[in-house]
Amino acid sequence: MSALDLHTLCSTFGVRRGDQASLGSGFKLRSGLTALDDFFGGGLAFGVVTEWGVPLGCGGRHIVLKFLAAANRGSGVRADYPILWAYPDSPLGLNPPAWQALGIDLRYIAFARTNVPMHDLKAALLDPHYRLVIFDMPLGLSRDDYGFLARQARAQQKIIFILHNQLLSDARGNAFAKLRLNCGRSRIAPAHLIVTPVRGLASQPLTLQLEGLL
Amino acid sequence: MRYVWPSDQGDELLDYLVITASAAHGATLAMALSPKVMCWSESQWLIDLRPTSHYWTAQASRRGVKVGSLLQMVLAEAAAQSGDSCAGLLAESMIFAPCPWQALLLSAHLKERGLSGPLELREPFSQALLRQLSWGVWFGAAKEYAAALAKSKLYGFNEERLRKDLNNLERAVLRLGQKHPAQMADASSLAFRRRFGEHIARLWQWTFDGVAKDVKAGKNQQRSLGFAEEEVFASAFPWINVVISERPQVVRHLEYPVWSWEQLVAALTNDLDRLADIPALALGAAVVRLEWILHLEDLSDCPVTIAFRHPHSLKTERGEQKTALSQACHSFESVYLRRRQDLLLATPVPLIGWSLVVAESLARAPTTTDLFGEVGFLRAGELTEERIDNQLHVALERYQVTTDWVAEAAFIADLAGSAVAPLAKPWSALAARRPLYLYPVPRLLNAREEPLQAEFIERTGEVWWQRPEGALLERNYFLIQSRFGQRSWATKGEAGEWWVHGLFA
Repeated sequence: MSALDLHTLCSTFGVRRGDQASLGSGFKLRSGLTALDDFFGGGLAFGVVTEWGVPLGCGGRHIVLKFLAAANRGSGVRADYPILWAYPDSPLGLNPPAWQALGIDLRYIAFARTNVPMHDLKAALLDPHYRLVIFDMPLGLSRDDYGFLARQARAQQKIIFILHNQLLSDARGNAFAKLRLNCGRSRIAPAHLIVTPVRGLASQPLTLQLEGLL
Repeated sequence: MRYVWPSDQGDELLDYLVITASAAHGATLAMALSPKVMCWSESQWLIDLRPTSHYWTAQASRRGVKVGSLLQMVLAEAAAQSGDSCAGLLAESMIFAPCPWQALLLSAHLKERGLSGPLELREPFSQALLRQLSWGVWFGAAKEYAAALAKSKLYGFNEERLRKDLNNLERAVLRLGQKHPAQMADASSLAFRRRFGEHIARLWQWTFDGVAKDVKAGKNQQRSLGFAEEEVFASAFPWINVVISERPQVVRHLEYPVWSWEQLVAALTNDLDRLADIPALALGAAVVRLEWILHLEDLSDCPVTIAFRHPHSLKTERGEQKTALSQACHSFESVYLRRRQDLLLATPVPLIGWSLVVAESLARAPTTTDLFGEVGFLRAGELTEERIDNQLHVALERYQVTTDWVAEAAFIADLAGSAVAPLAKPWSALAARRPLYLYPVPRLLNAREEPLQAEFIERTGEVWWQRPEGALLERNYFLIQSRFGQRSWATKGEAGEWWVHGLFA
């Protein structure tokens, strides 16, 4: 039996690979890009809420998509980490071919269009199925909502990404997010992305070539 | 010989199915596939697959079989259990079509020519068969339609008038020496309406065009709950649902009036469990829609619909009923609590009881199990996307890509989550240069939003044959950057104005 067959068989029956076995706290999602993974101390930790300042059209979402693309790379018939992407009910829709071109496997990502994600998607947050949950430009999340998200992320060992359409500042903090950072294109070198930690990482800002993320 | 479902066709289930089955078992067999079933003639059963189509498509995709083959298996198993003597002929009588009228015509045509199915109308062979349809078959079906319309007691319908119009059409066809309706396929339904009346015009339109484009476009919206109310053919096609004589139901008389969700949730959970224990459901039938009729203190009733995107087995969640409660809560908030706002009441009229009725369900045979569990239904405790999708208040969306160069047509909604084919390189390279987000209709930039930079990206041919005369034949796309650094995908109009079609990551 080839390695591929074995992997497919394992995925079918929900058997995880050795490196995925320890899904408790401390397990991390790697992007596959050494510089990025090193910046996050070996990857993004499961069980936490991460808050991202990624203004639309400034390239910051490429970092998040890099992690999502790596999450199910090599998955068999069943996703290793099913993804739920919630986006606002606005005139702006999605262009799935571009997502696929960036490495996202469309079989393993479900989208939900809602302006009240905490109300409409509560069942998905309470359930361990979707391991990676992304709230893209959520409207009006309250402190209680963040508290609920932090509890669910820890209880279900999810990574919850909150993507804001504006840059974050330490003047308006959020104790429930373990990691807060800003991502965007460099003004001096537009072919580069700068990831600036606001909270949760001691490291200096990271500069990445945009080409390397595509 | 076992029929092989064509593999090169898309695996989307067509909306309607006709089967031939005995009068005694037909309803049970048909209800194994969908709760919306009509008895067209003594042995012909029309099945509206729309309420369960995404469910069957997902099941077929998961098992790696064609959805038509799966329905064939489910029907065969149900027929074997019911002891129907015609079980062997069931698969041969299956005709799938986008419109019930076309399915009925094809079924009658097959019978006349001594051919057998199963057939799907999107196949070239089936379409050729439809074109070979004789006027005799068409008139036969039209007479059945007239009888069904009379039976449906449609307001203002004059059976005598329709029969007269049919006779006129018959005479005209004879005079013109036409043998097949296809010979007159170019004739517009408007011309038929003028000469032979509204009903014949409608039948004529359905014969070759099926359902109207706007109806097809709305198909993807069916996943939003409550679609069962809307009938595509409500005003014209005499659809009469087979009604189960005794719909399973439980009634609750409350000890004291209540008005908030928290006060009634325990009693409702208990009632859902009681409903699951009713023999008709205890055998494994799955619910598609529940009617929860709230009895109010002012002696009025407030009906609330509890609908499921995927057929749901109440039995598998006994004691918790998470799925049903989640949808019930949402419907309760949007109907009962909104009623208070609409009537400008300070407090809602309290409930004094309710009836919980199974409005639509799939009759499942108790032993339809395979190696991995059940053929059709979710196993208890299985954490599947269907289960979560059933509990959410918004439908989950999935997409698959298509090979179309026009950005807005390069993807389709994928109800089954079966997007497996990766894009070939040229398409993938094209997609990689396009934005993550798209406006369905490009947005005009105003003068204040004038871009700082613009870089040409691609030239795309316009679908000129669908555009009005004089429209642009191609689109030149640019990457434009605003003064705030936001990058958009925009095209330039004739007057040099910018139309933003998408936003980059």
